[in-house]
Order: sequence, then C-alpha cells, then structure tokens
Amino acid sequence: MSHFIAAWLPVFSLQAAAGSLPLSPTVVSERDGPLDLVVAANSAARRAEIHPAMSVSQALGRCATLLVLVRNTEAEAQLAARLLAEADHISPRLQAVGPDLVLLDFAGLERLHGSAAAAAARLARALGGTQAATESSSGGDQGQPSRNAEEWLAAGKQIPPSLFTLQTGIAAHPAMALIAAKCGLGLVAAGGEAAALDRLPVDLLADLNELTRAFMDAGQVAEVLALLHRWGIQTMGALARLPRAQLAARLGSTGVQLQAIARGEALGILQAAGVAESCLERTIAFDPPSSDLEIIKLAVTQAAGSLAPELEKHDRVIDRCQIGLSLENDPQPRLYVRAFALPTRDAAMIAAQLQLALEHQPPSRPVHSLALRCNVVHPRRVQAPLFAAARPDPGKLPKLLARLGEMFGPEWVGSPRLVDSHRPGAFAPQPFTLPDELEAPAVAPPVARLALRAFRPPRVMEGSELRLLRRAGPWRSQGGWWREKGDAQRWAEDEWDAEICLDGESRPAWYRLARDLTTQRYYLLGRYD
Amino acid sequence: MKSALENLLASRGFGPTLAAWQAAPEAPSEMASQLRPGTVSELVPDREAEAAGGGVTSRALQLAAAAPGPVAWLDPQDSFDPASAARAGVALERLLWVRGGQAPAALEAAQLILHAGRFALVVVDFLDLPSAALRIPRAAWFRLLRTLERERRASLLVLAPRPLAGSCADQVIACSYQSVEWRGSSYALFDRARLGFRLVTSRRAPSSVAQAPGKRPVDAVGPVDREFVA
Repeated sequence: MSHFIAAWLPVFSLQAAAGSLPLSPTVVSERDGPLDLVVAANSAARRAEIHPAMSVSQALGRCATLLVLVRNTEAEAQLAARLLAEADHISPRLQAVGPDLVLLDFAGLERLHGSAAAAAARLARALGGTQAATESSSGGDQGQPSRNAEEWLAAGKQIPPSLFTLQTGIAAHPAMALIAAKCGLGLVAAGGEAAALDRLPVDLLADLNELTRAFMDAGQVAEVLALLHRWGIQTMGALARLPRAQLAARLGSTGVQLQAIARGEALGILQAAGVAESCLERTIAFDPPSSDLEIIKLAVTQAAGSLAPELEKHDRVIDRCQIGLSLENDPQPRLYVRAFALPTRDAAMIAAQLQLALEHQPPSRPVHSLALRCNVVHPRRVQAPLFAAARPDPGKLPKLLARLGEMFGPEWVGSPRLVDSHRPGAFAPQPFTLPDELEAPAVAPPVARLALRAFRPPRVMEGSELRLLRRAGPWRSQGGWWREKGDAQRWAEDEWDAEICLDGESRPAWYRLARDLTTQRYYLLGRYD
Repeated sequence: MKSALENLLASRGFGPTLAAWQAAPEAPSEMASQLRPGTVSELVPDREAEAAGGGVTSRALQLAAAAPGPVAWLDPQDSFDPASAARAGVALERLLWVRGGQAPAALEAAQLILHAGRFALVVVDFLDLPSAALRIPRAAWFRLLRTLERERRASLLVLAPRPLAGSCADQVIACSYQSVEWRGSSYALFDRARLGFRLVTSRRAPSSVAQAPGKRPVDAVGPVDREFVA
C-alpha cells in the first residue's frame, strides 16, 4: 500500500517572519508603492476581520493590539530550504509543491521509519513544532503552536527558529494528501477520501490553489464558489453528489475537475525532484587567490565530498568529472578532465583522481576559484553470472588507469579500436572501459592468424643490405588524396609480404615491406611473428 | 565492408597478406589451460629453429583471445598491431594496451595491474628489446610472483628473446616455425605454415603436463630440457 505525505507550513510568511505561529492577532506586511499591505494574517487576526491585501492602517483600525511584522524573504527562503531538507531525510522522492508545501512518496519506507504517521510526526518534530494536522479537525492555522512567540518577544529574546507549526496529511494519492494537510484531515485511509471530505465547507476549494491552478485562476474559483453558494451547495459532499454530466453542462470541464477534488479522486502524480541528470557542479572560491597546490587539493577533496551524499541519496554515479581552475590574469580556465572506466560515487576515489591530475600539471598561476563539474549517470545494474570470471575491481581500476597515465602518458594507455579505413594498420586509441558483458570469453577463432609486429615509425630501408628471398605483392593502397601534401592523413603506397634476410642476420624472417609512392622510398612496416 | 571482403577472400584461400595465413588447427582453450592463474610463463623464440621470430606474438595473441577476462598488454616498443589481434580473436574492447616506457617501467606497470586485480592475463612484450635493456633485477620477478600468488587470478605471460624470469617462471615455452610453404614463384603467396613449441622449463608436476587429459602441450616437439617439480 503506497502512502503519500504532504507537509504544509500554514501562514508561511508569518511563521518565517516570527519564527513561530503567534496566538495573538499578528500580520505580515509588505510595502507596495506608498502603502504597507497585509500579505498574511493568522487566525486571530482573521477573526478580527483582517485579511490579506488590506492596508496595515486599515488592519490597525480593526484591531488595536495587532502585531505587525515586516515580511522577511530571506527567512522564508531559509524556512523553505529547511522544510525541504527535513523532508528529504524522510524520503528522497519528494516534490516541492511550493515554498510552504512538500509532498513525499512514502512507498517502501515503512521498514525504515515505521508507519507514515510516525514519519509525519518525526518530520514535525524535526521542525521543532507540533504536528497540527493530527490534532485539528478543520482547515487554516488552527493547530496549537508549541510556544507563544509573544512570550519570547515580551521577554526581549530572539524567537528560537524551531517552533514552527506543521500540518501533515497522509493519503493514498498525492492530491488527497495535499488536501488532507491543508484541511487538517491527518490520515485518510484509502477509499475513505469522499467520506473524509464530505462535511468540509466547499469554500476550502479556494485554499487548494495548488490543485486548482492547473485549470483555473483564483478569480475563477471565487466565481464558481459564489455560483455554488447560490445553488445551495455548501459542503464538499454536496458538490461531490451533483450529477457529473449536468455539472459539466453548466460549469464546463472546470466544474468537473472541482467535483473530482471534492470527491477525493486521484489527480496528478508526484513529480519527484532528483539530482540533475546531466551534471552536478560545485564551486569554491579562494580569497586571496591560492597558488598552494595542497590547498587546492584540499578544496578538491571538499568539493568531491560534498557531492557524494547527494549522489548516494538519488542513487546516481559519475562517469566523468572536470575541474576548471580560474587563474589570475588568465581569461581561460585551466581544465582537468577525468573519465571513469566504471562510473562511481566514491568521493575519495574521485578526489584522488583529480588530485593526480593536478599533481601531473599543477596550475602555473594563483587560482581564483575552482569549479567541479560532474557528469551524472544512472549506475550500471548488471547481475554477474554465477560461474563467470570476476570483473576488475571497480574501485581500483580508475586509480590504476590514472597511475598508468602518470607513468606512460594518458595517450599511451587505453584500448585500441579498429577504424573503418583502408589505411593499413589504422586504429584509434580509446580510453579503457569495461563492457557490461565481460565474463564470456572471446569466441576462439577457428584458425590461428599470423601476427604482425609493427615498426613505429616504419624503418627506412636505405643504406642497408638485404637479401630478398621471396615476395608476394604488391598491393596498392592510397587515401586522403584530397588533403594537402605532407598531411599525415594522406598516403599512397605499395605493399609486399617478403621473406628477407636482413644485413647481419643469418636467418630469414617475414616482413611487410612498403614503398611510398610519393617519395619512392622503401620502408619496413613490420615483421610477422 | 573491407573486413567482410577480406574475410571472404581469406576463407577461399585468397588471403591478400601474410596476416591471412592459417596455422595448424589448435585449440586455444587447451593452450590457455597451460597458463595457470598465479604463475609466470615465458614465450621465447626457439634459437634452434631456422627462421627468426618463431611465432611468439601469434601464440601470445592466441592465449589472449582465449583468456577468460580482461587482458593487459604491456608494449614498451609499441609494436602491438590491433588488426592482428582482432584477427586472432582478441576482444579489443577488453584489452588494456599500455605503450612505451622501458622494461622496468613495464614490470612496474604489470605490478600495478596485478594489484588492481582480476585481469585474467597480463602480457609483457620484451621480444624486440636489446639485451642491455633486459637486465632486470631478479627481485622484480619475485615481487611479481608474490603478487600473482596472492591474487591467484591473473597469469603473467612474458614475451622475450630469451628466458628472463629464471626460477620464477612456471614454464618457458620455445616457439618455432615447423614448416613454411609458399605457393607460386615470382608473385608467391604465403600458403601455410605450422607452428611448434617445446617446453623448455616447467615447474609443474609431470602429471599435470603429460597425463591430465587436455593438458598436454599441443604440437610440442622435442624433450623437456629441464623439469622441476613445484
């Protein structure tokens, strides 16, 4: 049975500004041109007929004891991030519907957190406040806050940032969980959605803008609600029981969708936020610019370490990472790129790889900033056959390739790939990566083939004596004739297989002999062995 | 298209180059069974043979093709030919090719690869290196042998002009061309040849070489010069 949890911070602006949900009449104001307008009001203020969009002077005229707080967008951003972070500890599959509302997919997490209700309570405790939804039975901010903010203000203390009031809702689908959170229904059992909503006032639809904004704006909702009141529809249950076809004839598709909300039907799906599929970035600035390699390496370790938890949480790995160093007096960043044969999320290994690259070519100037970009991919999921040979240790292989690259040069370590070319001996070196299916041994060829030992570069035959015993050929090959003379991609040559006794050798051997048609010079391309 | 055409010609006896040569049929898996995991084997040209070389590289590619896992090929002289390897059946996508360096660096790289673990075969190609470059301290071979015995997964195959590893080698196999046949006269085509090898040194028990079915060295000619029981 899948469960979805919705966590909502009622009167978000007020909670962010006050650090809690005050019991006495309190509003949050924001300057709009010459006026200070109310943008949020708690239930006590609303009982005094104070509503958002009202000017502060009007509000004070209605309630002399009104506490007016200035809107704090920075605190709102911090509170939204905190809500998201705490929800993320419960389930990595979550959707931030708004700054004040988070939806979580709780499927499969029962063994980790217990029941969904326990997880919701844990989330509320993490924010330091009470779980209002399970205690209240109607909408709004009627849950009991744990402490009164005025007490802290009266005592001249700063309000602790952990007294927030959180309303949670639990249901079998995301839309109902959202309704349950905003309407204070708490846990709604699967199949009991319509019954749970039956007695709720239909005006609550105006508060469910997260669900209604997809098909109508707030003004249209107000118009429909006014019409419903004229029809005598006061509760969600009454709206749910209206004949759908006749409702559609009168209100159109929007009326049907509002009725679906009133019936508690599954609307939409949770759109889980995840780590960016393409890349992850971390940037570290040095002030003042640093030329100490050890400090830069430490920063690399820190940047790589900060990636690991996110990758772990979203079950992603990195197959390629790049460090860009912004150097002093150099507009072009210095790039260090590392590709991993087996994608990994091991922070220590990623850091070690990048540190090796830095040691190999340390920056020549002081470094302003360091930007780490990682290509994020899905991890490979291959079930290894039981009786197959084991594959190289995924952790050790990238380190090995980096060490070999340090010893021999990165371009001399890799895996050869044949290219589709008539040029003899053409190949393209590629980075060594492990294919998924390694275990099956290569199909043995029916017959053995004679191997060529290539001479790189080819040996010029001028000035040496040789005894040609046998030959086969020539075979002419040429290509790249459209390129400039002297271009390495342009060639024209005749080739022979020859049994040759070279100068100073008593025994013959078989060689591949070539004559360059441009220079008319003879070369030995290789020896058969 | 090119490779398909070449394969077709080769299958009908019109191989354009020596690379289309066909040796005597030989079961590579049987040859691979001679390379025991955790041991050092050496392939050397038979000095008593008439022709140079002896097909050491061809033998090594056969063994690489039959290896039950990734193969590392250490190539200080940069003489590895990928096309030949592909024709021999080596899966290039699971071949780690390390070029350049000197003999000590190649052995150090072999040590690293063996430490990384689970490569089925590590080939070190010293075949064309001059004698002066092959003065390798005996301790290096013992270090490699200890690593091999600890990992017990990979085999180390050394291609060299002469035996180098001494008592660290599990076996030394001398390769030679047994027969070489040309067809035609002036524009001759290399027709066929037969490779042979003889076991120069073996540390294995005689039963594991001669008596176990399928373990007998294929095409072995000549006596075993020296034989030690491990």
